[in-house]
Amino acid sequence: MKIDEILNENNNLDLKIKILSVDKREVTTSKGNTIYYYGLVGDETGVLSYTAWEFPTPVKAGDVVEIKYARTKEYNGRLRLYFDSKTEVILKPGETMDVKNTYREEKLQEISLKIPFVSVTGKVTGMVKKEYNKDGRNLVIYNGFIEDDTSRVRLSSFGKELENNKVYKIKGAKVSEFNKQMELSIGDKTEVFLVNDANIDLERNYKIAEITNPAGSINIMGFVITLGTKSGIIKRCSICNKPITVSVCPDHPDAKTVLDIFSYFTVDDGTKYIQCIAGKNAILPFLNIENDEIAKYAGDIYSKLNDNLYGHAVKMNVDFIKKDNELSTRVNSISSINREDIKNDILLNNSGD
Amino acid sequence: MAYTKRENSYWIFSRELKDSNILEGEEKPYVITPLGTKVKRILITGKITHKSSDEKMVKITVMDYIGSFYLTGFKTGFSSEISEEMDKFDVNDTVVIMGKINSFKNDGGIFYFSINPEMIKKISELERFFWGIRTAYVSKRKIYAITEVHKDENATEETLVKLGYTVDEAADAMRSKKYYNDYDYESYLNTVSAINYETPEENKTDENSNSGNTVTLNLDSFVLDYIKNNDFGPGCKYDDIIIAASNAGISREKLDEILNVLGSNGDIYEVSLKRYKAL
Repeated sequence: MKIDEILNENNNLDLKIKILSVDKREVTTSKGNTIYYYGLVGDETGVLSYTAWEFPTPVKAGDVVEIKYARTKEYNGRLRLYFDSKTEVILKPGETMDVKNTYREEKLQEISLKIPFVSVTGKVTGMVKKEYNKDGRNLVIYNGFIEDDTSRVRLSSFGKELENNKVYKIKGAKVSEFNKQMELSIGDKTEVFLVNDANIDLERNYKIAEITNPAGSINIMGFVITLGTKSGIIKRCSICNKPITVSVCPDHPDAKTVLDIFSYFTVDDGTKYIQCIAGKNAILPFLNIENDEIAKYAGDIYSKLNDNLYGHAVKMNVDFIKKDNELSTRVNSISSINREDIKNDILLNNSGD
Repeated sequence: MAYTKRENSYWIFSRELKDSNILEGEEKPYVITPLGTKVKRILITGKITHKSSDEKMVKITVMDYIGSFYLTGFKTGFSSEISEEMDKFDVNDTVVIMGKINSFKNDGGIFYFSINPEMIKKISELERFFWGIRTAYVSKRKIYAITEVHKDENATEETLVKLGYTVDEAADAMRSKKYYNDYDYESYLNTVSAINYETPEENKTDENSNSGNTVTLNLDSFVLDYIKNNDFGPGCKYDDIIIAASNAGISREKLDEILNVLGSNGDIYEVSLKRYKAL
C-alpha cells in the first residue's frame, strides 16, 4: 500500500517507506518513564507523521524500511501512523526511495513545532535584505513577516527575494520558534509561488479565549483590570539595550543611557484575561507624549497610566507569546475603543450565530 | 516574569447573579449561576442609581442593562482604601467595577448577593456599551451550549468542544444542567436579546461622532422595554421604573403619563399595586 491510499483508520497496514526523521521523547506514566519515537515517513506518493512505541535501534533517518502490522489513527484531525509491539520494521539496506513532499496548507495561527514543514499562503511585509558571511562565502538573507487573516509570523528567506505587499504561496516552509513566537523560513527546497489577485483581510480581530497559539499582530478589546505598580520609566544601555538597574550598564560602563517605558498590566475581554507587557512604542502614542518628552513626563507616567489605562476599555494590537505553555502578550499599539470598534465587534459576534 | 494565577473576573448581567441559588465550597464559596458560571469575582459596568455612606460603610447600587448589583465597602480594615474610592462617586456616574461576591442566605432560603469592590473607575457610556455587547455575547454562547446539552442526553464536555465551544463554556453548560435543569433559559435569552442599549447620552448629539446625527430615544419604547426586561415574575416595580426613567432624563410626571398611555394602548397592565407587566 502507498501512503496516498491510506484514507481512513486502519489496523493492519503493510508499507514500504523511507524514514524522514526520528525524534524521541520521554514521558512519565504510572509505570514509570517511557520513551517513544516520532517523526515523518514518506514514499513516492506522500508524507505521514508517525509515533512508535517501539523502534529498532539501527533504523535512522534516510533508511528505507518495510513496515508490517502498523496502524493509522486520527490524531488532532489528521491520520497518523502508529508502530507498537506487533509492528515489524524490516530494514532494506542499500535501497533508496524518492519521496513526494506533501505539505498540509495551514493558516498561520495554526502552525506549530509539531509539524516541522508546512504550506502557507500570505502577504509578505517588512522584508529587509541583509548580507552576511558564512565560511568565507557572502550570503543574503531577507527578514520580514508573512501575514494572513489569522496571524502575522516572522519570515526568513535564505537567498530567495520576496517582494513586499505581494501574496505568496510557500510550500515546504520550515517552522521554528524565535523569541517565544513562531517563525517560518524559506530554504533551498522550499517552493515559492506568487499569487495574483489574492485578497487577504489583515484586520485580525479576536477574543482572547480564541487564541491558543502564539499568533502575531492580533487585535483584542477589553478592560485593563490590573496595572503593575512598577510600571513607568526605565533606563536602558544605548549599546546592548539591556535595562540598567544600577547607575551604568555593567557591560558598557561608558555607554549612554536611554529612557524607555516598561509597563505590565492585565486585560480581560469577557472571555479570558491575559498578561500584557508594553514599551514606549505602544504607551507614548496612547498617552499623547512625544518621544523627546519622556524625560519631562518621567515622574508622571505611572499616574497617567493609572488614569487613562487602568479600568478602561481599550483596543490593542498584540503579539501573543508562549512560555512554559502559558500565553501572554507583547503590546504593539493601544487605543481607546471607539464606536467603529464596537460595531465591528457586533458584526463578528453575529457572524457565528 | 512570573505571574501568579489569578481568579477570573466573569462578565455577567445582574440577573444571572440574582437568579443564582447554588454555592460550592465552604469558607469562601463559589457561586454557581444558572448559566453554569462558577464565580467568585465579577467585572460589571453600569450607572449608579443609589448611594449611601456613613462612618462605617458605603453602599452603592449599580444598574446594568437588566437589573441591579449591590456594592458594599467597609471603611475599616483592609478594604478601607476601596471604600474611600467608592465614596468619590455619585448617583448617575457610569462606572466599571471588579469585585468579589458575598453571599447571604436568609431563613426562607432566599439568596442575597453583594459585591465587595476591588476596583471602581468612572467610564464613558461607550465603554459601558462595549461591556454590554460583550456580556450579551458571552451569555448567549453559554445558553447555546446549554441548549446543546439539553438536546443530547449523552452530551459531554468533549461533545461541546467538538461543536466549537471552549473548554470553559463546555464545563459551564454541564454544570448548568446539573444544578439548574429546570431554569427558564429562554426567558433569560429573550431578556438579553431585548436589551435596549440606547442610553441617555445617545439621545443627545454624540460629540465623538463624525456624522453629528441625533439619535432620538422613543420614550414609550424605553419604558415598555424596561418593564419587559425587568419583570422576573411578579411584575416590574414602579420604584425601579422611576429610577430607570430618571436616569434616562424622564421626569416622574412624564413617566406617569407614559404608563397611562401604555396601559390604555394595552401594552402593559398593573398586575398588583405599583407592579407592571407587559402584554
